[in-house]
Amino acid sequence: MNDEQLSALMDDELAADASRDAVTNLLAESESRATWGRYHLIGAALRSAPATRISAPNKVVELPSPAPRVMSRIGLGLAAAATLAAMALIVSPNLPQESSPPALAANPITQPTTKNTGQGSSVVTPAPNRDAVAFVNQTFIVRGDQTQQRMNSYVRNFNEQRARQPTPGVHPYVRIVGYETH
Amino acid sequence: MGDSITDTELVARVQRGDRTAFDLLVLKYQHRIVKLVGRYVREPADALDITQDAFIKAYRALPNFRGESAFYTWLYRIAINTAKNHLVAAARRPSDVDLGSNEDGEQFEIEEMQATLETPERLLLTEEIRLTVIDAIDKLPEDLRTAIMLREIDGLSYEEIATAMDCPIGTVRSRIFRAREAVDLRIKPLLEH
Repeated sequence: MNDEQLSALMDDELAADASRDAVTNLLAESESRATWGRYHLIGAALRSAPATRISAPNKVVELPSPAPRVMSRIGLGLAAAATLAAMALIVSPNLPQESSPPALAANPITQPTTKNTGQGSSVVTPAPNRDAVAFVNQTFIVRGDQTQQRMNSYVRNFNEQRARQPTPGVHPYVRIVGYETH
Repeated sequence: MGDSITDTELVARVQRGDRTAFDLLVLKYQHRIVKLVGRYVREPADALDITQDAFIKAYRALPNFRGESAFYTWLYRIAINTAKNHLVAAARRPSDVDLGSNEDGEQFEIEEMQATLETPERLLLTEEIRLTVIDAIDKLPEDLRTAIMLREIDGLSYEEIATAMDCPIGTVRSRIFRAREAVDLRIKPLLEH
């Protein structure tokens, strides 16, 4: 039997009669049996690989079956979005009228101010912005040397973990780096 | 329940006394069973032992298999029960494996089968094989890669793949075969030494 037939047989894609003949041939040929084993091994290796480690096809493949369900979900999503938009229009009387000037024009963007405090620190006061309520009354302190130390420690740990990690492409060490707030 | 034509044919041959047909079923399902059993035991060596036990139990029970469920469903249950029994036995006394408690003739047959069962470790999935397969798949032309992935990962039939890729079924069959052939060329040398 040829290997293309064998490939179709293992996918159960031969007609019943052809399958019977193919099985008879397969049982008689040791080389075909070995190929059968390797082809199944290939399938097992593919299924055990994380999806991210195999390049996805560049072309978008349209799968045949679940389309109606997907469309109904999209339809539901659109309906929900439309409802929310309508509710927002009804419930928000404070929205600017078309005749009023745009909010950005009324509140021009101002730059954050930075004040040096000495000792390697600086105080950054965020630009006043009515929309960013959470930030208005806060002062963010960025200690230059401390940030540098944290970055160095991050890079050091990352490289140590990466050396131990057998799998390339997987982030070995992740740490949240952010501003400290006071 | 429906079974694959190939499985039905192979099971029928085993029931008629063809042991080689059982070897083909082992080659087909061993990876799935090892993975399944691996959920119950931590040691890979234990998983392999339990898998082999499960296949031997299946071989002994096959004459009574009536095809009321798919072969794999039936094998799956045997493997789960074997793994659970292993855990119970291991809790009482380690490495308590009861094989061939029947007549001498059957015991001999089982021992012979254990020795010659076509499940050599070289056909089991190692990291080297896995990485080689992934690399080979990555290097395939896109049409072959898409076809083999839709088949092996998404489990689509040739007809569904033909619809998805907008090509004839014969082309799908050929693409899948060419993909397997290309990957096979890469892994064959690894399995020969």
